[in-house]
Amino acid sequence: MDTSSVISEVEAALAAQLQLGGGDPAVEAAGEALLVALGPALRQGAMDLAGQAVAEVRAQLPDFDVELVVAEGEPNVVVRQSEEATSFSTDELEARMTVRLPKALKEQLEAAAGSAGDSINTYVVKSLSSPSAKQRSRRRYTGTFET
Amino acid sequence: MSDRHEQFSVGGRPRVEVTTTSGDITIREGVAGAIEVRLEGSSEQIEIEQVGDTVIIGSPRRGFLRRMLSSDVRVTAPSGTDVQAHSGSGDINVDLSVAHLEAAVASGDIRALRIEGNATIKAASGDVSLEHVAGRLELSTASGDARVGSVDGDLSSNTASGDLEIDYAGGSAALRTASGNLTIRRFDGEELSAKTLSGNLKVGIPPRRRIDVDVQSLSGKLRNRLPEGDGSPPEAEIVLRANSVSGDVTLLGG
Repeated sequence: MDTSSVISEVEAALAAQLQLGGGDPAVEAAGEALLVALGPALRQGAMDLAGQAVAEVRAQLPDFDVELVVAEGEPNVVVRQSEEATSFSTDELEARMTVRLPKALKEQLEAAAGSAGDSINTYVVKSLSSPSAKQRSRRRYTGTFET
Repeated sequence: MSDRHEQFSVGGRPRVEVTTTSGDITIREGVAGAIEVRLEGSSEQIEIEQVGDTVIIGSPRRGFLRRMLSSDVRVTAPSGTDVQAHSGSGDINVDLSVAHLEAAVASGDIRALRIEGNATIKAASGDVSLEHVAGRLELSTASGDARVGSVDGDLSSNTASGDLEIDYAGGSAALRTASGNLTIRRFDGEELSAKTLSGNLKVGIPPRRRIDVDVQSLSGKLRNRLPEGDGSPPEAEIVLRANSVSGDVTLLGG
């Protein structure tokens, strides 16, 4: 975000009003003092607005981490895929299904769940609700076209 | 309120640097070897100085109110001048062929004809219109729209909600937007990468190209509206990488 340009606009509006003073040095001096005092307040206001924007975007993108990062004095909105897997309470685990799969894959699953210290059920639920599994739900179109 | 008029002799590398807050900046083509400056409005606080071949109008380092220029600034300069122009709410009009252009506005608009070298353009709510950039273009807007006739060099753009429309892009392009729509009517570069949240991307592809496409999106779609080729072998390859949350990517004939 470029807050400097917005702050410049506010300063410009104020300066335009000050020029109605017709070049009176006292008005100019008062104006300069006012602008100096307003500067930090304007910057803080810009940061607050950026923070509110982040909160609104975060509310609309539940699967993403939305953060306000300040770089080179300017606020930047950073959106990342959430790293946290969705967790479920025991009460929510009410659906059941039977899956037929190759014996070798079942053994791999048992080994992976054992390594993670989870039951197979917990391991499968964790894996399917993880961000990487959601990432796979993103559509990906790849191909080559010729014109 | 008083108008001013000053004229400067310059050598082979003329350059103009001008800063206003609410005044418009207009730069037109004049005669070789001379830069002419006209100030209209409250010009008494404005400083004009020459350093070598550079004419500087406004002096940001010398007190806050001194750079709060409400005057309109009109400059005539030789073709091929380097231009740096900054304004708050004023418009910037560059009506001549310049070597390089660096322009920034808050709420004003930026309009330029021909830039023979590189251009760096920043606008907040103002709109941008560039006819031709022969070199590299770096463009940044917030809510303002940008319209570019052609850019021969590499293109880098960062927009928030403003739309970007380009008739011709001859170099690689790296585009980022939140909700603004991105349109390149004819992309003749080698590599195009785009990141959007909800903004759509439309790209026109010339005939006899092979396009390697990789588009990832949460809910956006890839639409292939490329016309059928005539069977001729491709003359060049394009790599297109796009990542969006809900924006669509559309490939068209260019």
